[in-house]
Amino acid sequence: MNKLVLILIIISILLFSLYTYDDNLKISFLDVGQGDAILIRTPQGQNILIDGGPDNVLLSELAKVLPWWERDIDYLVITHYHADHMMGFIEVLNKYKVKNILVTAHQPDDFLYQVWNDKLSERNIQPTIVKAGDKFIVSDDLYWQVILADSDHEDYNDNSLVIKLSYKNKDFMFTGDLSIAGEEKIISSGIDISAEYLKVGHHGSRYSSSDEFLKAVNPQFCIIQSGVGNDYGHPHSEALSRLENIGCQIMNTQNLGTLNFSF
Amino acid sequence: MSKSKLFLLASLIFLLSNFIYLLYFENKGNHSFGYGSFYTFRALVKNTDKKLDGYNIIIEPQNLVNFSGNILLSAHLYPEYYYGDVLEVSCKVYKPEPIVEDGGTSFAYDKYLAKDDIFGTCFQPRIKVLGQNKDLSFYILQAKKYVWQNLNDYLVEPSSSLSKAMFLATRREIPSDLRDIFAKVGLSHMIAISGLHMAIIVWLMQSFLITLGLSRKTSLWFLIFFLSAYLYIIGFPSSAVRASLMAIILLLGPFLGRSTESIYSLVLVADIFILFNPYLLLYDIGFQLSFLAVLGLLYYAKFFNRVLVFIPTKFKIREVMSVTLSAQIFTWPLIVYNFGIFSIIAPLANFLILPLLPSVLILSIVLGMVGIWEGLANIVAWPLFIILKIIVYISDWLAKIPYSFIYLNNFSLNYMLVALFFMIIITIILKPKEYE
Repeated sequence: MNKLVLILIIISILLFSLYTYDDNLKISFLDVGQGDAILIRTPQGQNILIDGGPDNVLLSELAKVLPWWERDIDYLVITHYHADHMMGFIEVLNKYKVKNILVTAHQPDDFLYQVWNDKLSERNIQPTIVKAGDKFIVSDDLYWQVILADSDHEDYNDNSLVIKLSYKNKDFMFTGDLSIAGEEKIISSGIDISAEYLKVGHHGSRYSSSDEFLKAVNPQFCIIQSGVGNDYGHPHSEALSRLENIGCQIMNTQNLGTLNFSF
Repeated sequence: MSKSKLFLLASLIFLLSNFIYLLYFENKGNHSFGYGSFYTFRALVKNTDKKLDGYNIIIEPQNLVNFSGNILLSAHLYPEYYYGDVLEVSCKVYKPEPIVEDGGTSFAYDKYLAKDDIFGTCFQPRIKVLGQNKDLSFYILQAKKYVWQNLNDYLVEPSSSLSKAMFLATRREIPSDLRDIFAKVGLSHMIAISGLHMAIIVWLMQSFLITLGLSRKTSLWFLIFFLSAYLYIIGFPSSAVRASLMAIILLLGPFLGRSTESIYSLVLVADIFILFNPYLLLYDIGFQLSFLAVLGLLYYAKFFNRVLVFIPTKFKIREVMSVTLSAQIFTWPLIVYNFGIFSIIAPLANFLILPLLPSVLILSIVLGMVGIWEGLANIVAWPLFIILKIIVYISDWLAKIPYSFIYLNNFSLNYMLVALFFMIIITIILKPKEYE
């Protein structure tokens, strides 16, 4: 009898937590160490996961920000095929139902890509290749578009898939590991890239975030994803001083842990 | 002198002489092997231990001159290797050395590895798979892989890594922040295969065998067989082996016509352990904690049950409190010395959470087996996920209570020995056994 009451109480608490979950747009920059992983949860309950971090730490960090009952990832976005942006995705495919995978046309000839491709065939998932200008409309006031999706550069970083998300009067730029050459290409295309929130390119490397690019974006918040004591010295002081010059508030997962925003 | 006294005395001398041997005379290793050089050699994969960011792989080299024993490889998450793989490994082979930390405390990493017959380490080697060696162990470990995959795929974090750790002893996949929480609330034993796990598993196996209609004697043989297979799968962790041996001695007692008083079987099992692997005595904290916890239970469980009269007996509150407290009597100096944390909230945390352990184990076993039927597996996975999530939620909540634990970082080896000595003196003065 006691056990039955206990089980009923637990079930009602669980149902209550389902019912009271708010419907804001939530963006979480996950603390996965030296690597990128960003979860966007739309008010409609769609989950967009940009990049998969360097290892399986992704799995626990992801589960902390997703609602407990969630097992679907609507869009999984691979900015580029470097280990620190996709290693955690292989296990995500085991644990979650991934509906769409968005990638550039880049098909590198390396070992990690082969492991990834084998996993995709095992799970019978076909990734969707996107190109600059593609637009994904979620609702009247929420959409995201592909700003850049090159695939023919030797340097993987310059094949980064760049996305801008717009919600009501707020814009968000996600730049992957794009370097200054790629930033120049975006600027010369004349597309509007102004955004209040900028995911700083390449973990705050000195070879990203040029003054011109920062001026065009004109961010209020600059978010860096880097790991404590990483081998690359990210974020670099030169990049940091350029960010300071533009006057944005710099936030780093390395010091602050997972960064959650709600709108 | 009675036979039992003689046995205790002989055991004491045996354990003490091993202790002295380990401290002053032990000198095992490949002394004529050229460490620090680059080698290419054939090796057999003996064991793999998955971490969040890669693998620890134990290999047995087959044509490495002057080298005997195993080598520990650190490898990336992908590609994956399994027991029985025959590899061609190219790497620099290093000699394991003691680790001296910033505070000046040192950790005998070399001896810790020697306990598993490991006398070399290799980092990120180049590996080529040459073939596969399929022996009986290969097929047993294929079964483990199947169970692991089911617990992995049908559960999300934090439940997935916890379920795997609690049933398959793969605790390196638990994120460090979660391991810290369990240390703070005194529940680290729950994410290893402790005596309690084994008691539940033995009870489950026995109930199953008796339901099949087997006699007690036949079911005992089956039990020993199943337990051995399970222990093999989880890699013979000391606490699980200790508990299994004690359970078997207890169950064998009536057939041998001998009394099996627990304190003697505990000492006997300790003797057997050290006979097989003397390193455990000093370099396996699981072995030390497991034996000290049981020693505490044997001496203090009934004592606390008598003394804690102000605690209600309803819901077995007093019983669980007594067990938790007595298990900690001799283990706390070791825990503080090794982990720098003293958990004050441990009795409450254990009381709230341990009752959920049987259901976690039962559901994990079922989920591990029914994975091929997706619908059925999901029906099992959801309650398992929720129970483990609740365990994490309560632990996290308890760890955040002020003074639920204290950090004691400067607790040196001398402090630990003094603390243990005092606990023994207190026990001698208090004579808790007379409260039975």
